[in-house]
Amino acid sequence: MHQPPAKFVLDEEGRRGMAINSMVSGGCIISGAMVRESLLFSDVRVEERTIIERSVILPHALIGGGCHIRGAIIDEGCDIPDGMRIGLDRAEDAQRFLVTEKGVVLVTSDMLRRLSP
Amino acid sequence: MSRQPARASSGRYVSRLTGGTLAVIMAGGRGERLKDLTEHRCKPATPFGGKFRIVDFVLSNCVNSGIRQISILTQYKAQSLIAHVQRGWSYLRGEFGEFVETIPAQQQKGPVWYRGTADAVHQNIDLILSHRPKHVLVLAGDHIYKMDYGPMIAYHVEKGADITVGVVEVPASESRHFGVLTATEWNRVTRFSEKPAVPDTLPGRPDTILASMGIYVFNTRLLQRLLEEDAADDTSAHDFGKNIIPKTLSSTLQVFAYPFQDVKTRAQSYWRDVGTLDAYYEANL
Repeated sequence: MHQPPAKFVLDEEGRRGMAINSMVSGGCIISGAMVRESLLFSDVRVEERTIIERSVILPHALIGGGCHIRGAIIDEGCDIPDGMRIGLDRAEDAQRFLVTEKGVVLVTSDMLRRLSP
Repeated sequence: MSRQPARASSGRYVSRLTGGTLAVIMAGGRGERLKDLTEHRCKPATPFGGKFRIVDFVLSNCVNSGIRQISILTQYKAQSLIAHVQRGWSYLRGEFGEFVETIPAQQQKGPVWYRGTADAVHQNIDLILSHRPKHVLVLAGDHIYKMDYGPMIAYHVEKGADITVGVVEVPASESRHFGVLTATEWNRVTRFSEKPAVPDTLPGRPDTILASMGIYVFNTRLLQRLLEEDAADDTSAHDFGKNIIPKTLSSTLQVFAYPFQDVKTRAQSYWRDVGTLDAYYEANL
């Protein structure tokens, strides 16, 4: 129920934990990653060199390192593997996930599971 | 138990009204247009705004309005909603007659699950009557807004209304997403169209329409009668917006529209139906 404050760690060029124009809820850990214009729910972990832009990340999601996520809704508990790109290539996204009329990409655990059988 | 209602000039008037009101929150639907987001949870249980779930907004509105008797009707994939309500909304005091209860669909009136929003309330009418409320406030459980329901109930009583429908002003171009009301300048409702392609616009304002917020104040006995009549009608879809309200407009019943506005500025207050993934995304950010 009660989470510790959000934590931002690492401070090197290209590996700096930060969030700009965003809301980051309690329990989150942003480790050497950039979060921009996004909303992170509780207990979301973002790993090194990842960039998250204009996205809504639901609770307990785990975003791997070196990812680039833009204009997405990441459902509760999703485990995004290292290096995944979401919201950058509409055709690629439409094959793996659900893309809305306005181009928002919805990613759920079920969809991710279907990608790696 | 008929006690003299407090006079409008005594400060207790509105609090006595809200104290005698039972809120019934419709949380039985899936919200198909949220697609995979409601694969494993119902729409009101969907997380929103970093810390909340969609249903928290209407629950908070009730409690802060002084309405502390709340029944939540559930059906589709209700478990995460029930758990959330138990963990997060258990602080009301039963000793004061306050409660938030979740009522599952129980086939109370025969071997059918809920056939529509009105049917859901009809199947639970005995439970509702057992609390002996003077008014029933039917609320959609899937909208984002902050509202004090007290003034709406006071408006309902002052107008001598049989039913009061909460409304917001929206662009006419979005009429296909809403139940649209036509009202006189005194806010008496004359017409209700469900998702019309060509809506009735506000007089003198051709690009604005009145959309139903899906919130209704009913006098309890009238609600019971309307639901019973509707249940017996096999041609009905048993929906408040499509059936119950339109039927009343051709009778002598007084149905009024209550505009949801900022009290001081009369500007339209924030209200969102996060019914589609795009709407959900935009409202969160």
